Amino acid sequence: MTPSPAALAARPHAPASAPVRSRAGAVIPAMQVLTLTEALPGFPAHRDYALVPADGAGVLSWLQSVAPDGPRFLVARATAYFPEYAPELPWAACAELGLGESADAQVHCLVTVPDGDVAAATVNLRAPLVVSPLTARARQVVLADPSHPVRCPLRR
Amino acid sequence: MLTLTRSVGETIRIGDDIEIHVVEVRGGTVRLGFKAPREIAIHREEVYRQIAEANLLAAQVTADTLGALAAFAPPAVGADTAAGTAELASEDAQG
Repeated sequence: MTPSPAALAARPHAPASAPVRSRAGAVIPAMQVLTLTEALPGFPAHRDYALVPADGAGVLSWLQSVAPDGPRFLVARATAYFPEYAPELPWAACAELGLGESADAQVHCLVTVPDGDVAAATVNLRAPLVVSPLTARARQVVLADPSHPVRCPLRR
Repeated sequence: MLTLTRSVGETIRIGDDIEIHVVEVRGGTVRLGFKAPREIAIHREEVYRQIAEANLLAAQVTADTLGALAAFAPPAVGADTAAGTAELASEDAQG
């Protein structure tokens, strides 16, 4: 289990602001507290989450509800797995998140592992989680382009 | 369920600030236009349901899969580990 965001924040020797470094040397932001401008479909009661790095390489993160017994999702940094993935974000979504430049957006995709079989793991490229680091706002954006699959195999 | 009959060019209003316009009817297909406050999400039902189902499955992922999943990522190229970027769409499309 991943420690809860509250536990992470309270741990004196691991301040939430402490950055970690990826294998390529880039700084991976530590835990980000996010407010969803629209709840995730299927989870209408939850809008407050923390994005917590889940691996040393900076490609996977937990999207953890801050509510007790709230949901937790594993998200993959989209371009780490799919370098060619460059979804067109609706202008309205960018405005809502306070994204002046879409290049400022962090794009993550929710990971599904059917029956715990990692070889069958998929990511949702049709509805990425778009994060604005500046405003700490995020939402799952359902793309108009149907060529992005909801279940895209993660293993290639 | 309330059912109403409308013709092309006519509108249905829901509450104070949601409008649904009948734009075109051809064969068995109707094209609708929506005006709604930004916080109202508008989705095709089948797409919304697909996303919700995928999210429900995604909420069941456990930490013991992390190592294998991280290994699926291709090796990082240079120092390009910044978060994924996206292009700004010029049109204000909603699925």
